[in-house]
Amino acid sequence: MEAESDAELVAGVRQGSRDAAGVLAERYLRACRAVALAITGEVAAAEDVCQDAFVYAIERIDDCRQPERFAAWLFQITRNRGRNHVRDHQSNRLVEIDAALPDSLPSPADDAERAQLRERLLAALARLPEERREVVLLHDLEGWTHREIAERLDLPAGTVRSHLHHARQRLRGLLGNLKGDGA
Amino acid sequence: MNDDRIDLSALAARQEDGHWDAVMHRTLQRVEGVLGSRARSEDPFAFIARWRRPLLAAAAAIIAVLIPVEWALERREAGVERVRDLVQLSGQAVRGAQSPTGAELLSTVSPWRVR
Repeated sequence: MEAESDAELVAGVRQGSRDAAGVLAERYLRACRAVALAITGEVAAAEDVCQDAFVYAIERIDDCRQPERFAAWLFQITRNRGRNHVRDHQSNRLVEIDAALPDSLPSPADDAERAQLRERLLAALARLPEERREVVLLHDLEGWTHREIAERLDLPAGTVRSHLHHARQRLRGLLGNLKGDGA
Repeated sequence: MNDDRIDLSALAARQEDGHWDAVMHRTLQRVEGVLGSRARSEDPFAFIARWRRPLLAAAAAIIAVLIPVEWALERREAGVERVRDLVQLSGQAVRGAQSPTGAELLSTVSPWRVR
């Protein structure tokens, strides 16, 4: 069975379909989290922001003028919410980047190490421009293709490749060799 | 390109303890509340927005039908007037025992006559 298009799902939500909203959440909530993470730089905040943004989008679904471009619209809501969150919590967000980037990288074996690794990644990501953070998170974390990112972020494919290349180069410089095993 | 990937898995949504499932569940619960309240109280602006297109289409169809009908009625009315004038001219001719001139007849039945 062919997957329903975003436009069909948006039409379903407009008619009150919970199932359509559920499919959109399955399709985009994680990516929303990645977009929010690129802005807030905090996992817990990103999860709050992505939930709020998704619920707000459903609430305002009649304002989505191009239902086939639901993802781009949802991400813009997410960015706005993320920026509001950063503005409201500015004082708590200062990242001690040098302290978070030790010389050698421990292998993540337990929760504490994972948490430490997460902090280092977030600190390194914080040094990238926002758009590059989004692109590298959507590609390397969420597994989206260049084409999907280009379509859904309203960026030319060449720009996506360029952002990805420069983001990875910078992250490697900051983190050392963190090449993914299975990715 | 995949070989160049940076391992960002430490930032992935936590699956192992059902954390992400809980986030999804909470989100869908809130969505259900939103859809429920949308169904209960219809926003008048949303209602207008939904009906705007069909209303405009119906108005355009009505105008498209009314313009030729109006035009046909006007033509018909002008014809009736010409017949009435012709009857009047004939009556005058009978009363005066004098037949109307060609010019009089022409000016009465002509659609471009000047009144």
